[in-house]
Amino acid sequence: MFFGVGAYTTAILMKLGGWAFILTVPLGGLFAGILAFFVGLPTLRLKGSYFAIGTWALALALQQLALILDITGGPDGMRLPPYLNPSYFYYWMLGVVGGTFALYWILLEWAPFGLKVRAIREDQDGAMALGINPTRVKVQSFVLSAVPVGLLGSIYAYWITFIDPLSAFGDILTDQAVVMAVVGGLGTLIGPAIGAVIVFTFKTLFWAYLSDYQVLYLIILGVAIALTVLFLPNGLWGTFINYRDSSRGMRTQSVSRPRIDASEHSDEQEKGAPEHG
Amino acid sequence: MAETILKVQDVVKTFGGLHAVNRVTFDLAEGEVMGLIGPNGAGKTTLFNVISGYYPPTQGRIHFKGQDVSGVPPYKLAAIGIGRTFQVVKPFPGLSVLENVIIAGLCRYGTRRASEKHAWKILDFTGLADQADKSAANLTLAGRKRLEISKALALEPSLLLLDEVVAGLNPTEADKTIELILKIKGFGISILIVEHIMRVIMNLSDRVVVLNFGQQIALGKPADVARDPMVIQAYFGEDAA
Amino acid sequence: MELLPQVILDGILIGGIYITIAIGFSLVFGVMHIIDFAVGEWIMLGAFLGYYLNGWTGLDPFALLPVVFVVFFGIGYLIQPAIQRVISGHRGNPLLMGLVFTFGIMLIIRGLGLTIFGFYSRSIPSKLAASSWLFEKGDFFLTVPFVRLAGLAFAVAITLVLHYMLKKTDFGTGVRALAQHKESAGLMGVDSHKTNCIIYGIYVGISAMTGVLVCTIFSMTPMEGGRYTVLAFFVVVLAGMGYLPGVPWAALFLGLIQSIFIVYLSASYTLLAVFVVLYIILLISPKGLFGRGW
Repeated sequence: MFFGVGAYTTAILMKLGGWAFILTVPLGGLFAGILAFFVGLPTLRLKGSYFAIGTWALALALQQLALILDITGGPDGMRLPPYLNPSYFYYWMLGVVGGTFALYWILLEWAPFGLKVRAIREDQDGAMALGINPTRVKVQSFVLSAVPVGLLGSIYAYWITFIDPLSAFGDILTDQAVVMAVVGGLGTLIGPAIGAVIVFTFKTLFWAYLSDYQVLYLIILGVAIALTVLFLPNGLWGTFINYRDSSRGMRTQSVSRPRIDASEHSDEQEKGAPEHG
Repeated sequence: MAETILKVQDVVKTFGGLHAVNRVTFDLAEGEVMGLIGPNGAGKTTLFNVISGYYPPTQGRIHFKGQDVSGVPPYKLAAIGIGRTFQVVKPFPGLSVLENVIIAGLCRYGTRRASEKHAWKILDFTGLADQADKSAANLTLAGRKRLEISKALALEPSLLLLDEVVAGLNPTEADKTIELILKIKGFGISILIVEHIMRVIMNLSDRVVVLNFGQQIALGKPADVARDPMVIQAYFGEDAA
Repeated sequence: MELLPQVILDGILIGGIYITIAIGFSLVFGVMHIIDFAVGEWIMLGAFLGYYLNGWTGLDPFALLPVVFVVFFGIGYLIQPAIQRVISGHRGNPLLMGLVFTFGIMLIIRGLGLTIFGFYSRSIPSKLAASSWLFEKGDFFLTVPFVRLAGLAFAVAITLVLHYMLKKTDFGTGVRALAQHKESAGLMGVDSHKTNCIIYGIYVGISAMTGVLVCTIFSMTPMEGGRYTVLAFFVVVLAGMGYLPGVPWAALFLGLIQSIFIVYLSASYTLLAVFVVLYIILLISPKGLFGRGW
């Protein structure tokens, strides 16, 4: 969705406003961020994950908007003057991706922000008792995740020189992003990157050999998600981390005090459940 | 008499018609330790959740340092000086003990470094410093209860709500925790403490509130409360009374 | 000519369909805290089963509803254990896991739907579709299409049956106990595994029947499932997550908004308009219209 916002920002500003490409890219990111803020504000206040459906529903609504507005060119989409220099765009993409990764790394691994995020993920009620406002941190994270996507959308629009509601707000983009995150491992920085490599490799192979069976792609994405969630709920990276930690845990355990047994722990979690209600 | 820090006035909390807490009223003075006791299901934890902002009160008001804080969310209360522990301890299991405490300090000390320095002091004080790098999930029950106290302390609260921090510990561990609470009291921090174990309450508290079925049935000095016929009846049933 | 009565009537008739779209979805959320991303896909599959059954047997779609229900009840019953596995156990954030898992199921069903049914839009013919009531009295003018009225009647019937089942039967008492508290319901002798499967089966069955209705009144393509997922979600959020009694009213409210927009503004803005309305309501009252959500 934020991808489409960035793409249309660039397309509209360049085509109708005559803006320079370089100026439209930050705006693409900015608008994506603003939109994320306003979507996140009401939906992230609520417990549960229906903010995910809310975002997804808004994507459909925006797609519809792009279909009926004049300035977006409706279903015909928008064409931009071609700029035939692929390496130019590679550098842009590399810059945005590298910058994003570096920023996230600093924020999540070094700044207080990362600790707050982890605290909320581990135990929201516990985090609140320590002065952390979960809604605020979640909205911040959501905006942070939206901005780079908006930037990439902006670049994409000028690179491909053609966007329409389907390519900018299309499901397949979202579907792939979900697969990347889930297969790689939710809530980690490395996981989705691994997921992306897998999805991209698979996609390339798929288009090379099976391009006649487009729908099959959808099914395979679905199967990948379902199987991962069923058997590797932490994704590839998360499973690896757990495996590594547990083997390391074994070693430390022999010298430290015996660990509380697992049944006691689970018991407490269950007792804790009604408190969340 | 020291100044009042917490004023609980006629607080009622209902869940779908059930009065979990019904018209509870008491004051807590600065530096005072108040025990909150009652049989299982008397509404102690619910009252804690109301005071610390997890549930808005259905009726009644709560004042903290003269300010009306009824229904104010927990993270704001934490920022103005109410620290609490949970009966079902809530460490962040995936994080180290040190990180757990750093998070609590962030709201007082903006940066991670300052908060870490503060966290070490707290851990030294609560005796967890030698386990600082351990994952919180690997602590013993006593360790986790102690971590709860450390986190609440890292907020530098002026009021501390302790929910069964002694229950479940063996006598040696329990004595250490009681000692710790007395030291905290020595700093002039007001404490509201829920505990089942009478010995703990009687030793620590200046005054005691007794709840039964959500109702406040007694309020006073521990020795007086222990002789109160209504309290005896609530604890030991009709025969004893 | 006065438009308003017709607008209100249309709104109520659309709202009736929204009830059936959302009521099973809300039930499942209320009992086992699953947000099923595939709800629109069940509707789509139901529509196509209805379409083919109608083609083979020539029976009226309304007569086919029980068959569709039974088939999809079975599917739901069989698939529930997989979902249960995903949302239970010691995983972080079961709600998200359920959501992601059903998202995967959605992709699979949509892909299969496109493979088997193709991209074309289908519609089930019904004898009721041709006729409608016409009221006319001077300036006052109302059209009531039979088929939509039948849809509303169906919605009301489903609502009443569910209400009866939950409030008056032993099974319903078990379900409500389960929704309140899992462990103690188990102690009281409620077989949570079986109850969950049945509830999920009922939900999938109702959704599939809704698909038959939608396909009779409007039309259906394999791509359209997502639209109904969004609608189900809107109604349920408006009603308050998991607050079943709110569903009919929220559905009717949404139907009215939609019909007002179609007539007075533009049909193409409806989804957007509904989104904006929902957004504002969530800002003001995060627990839905009645403040009773989860």
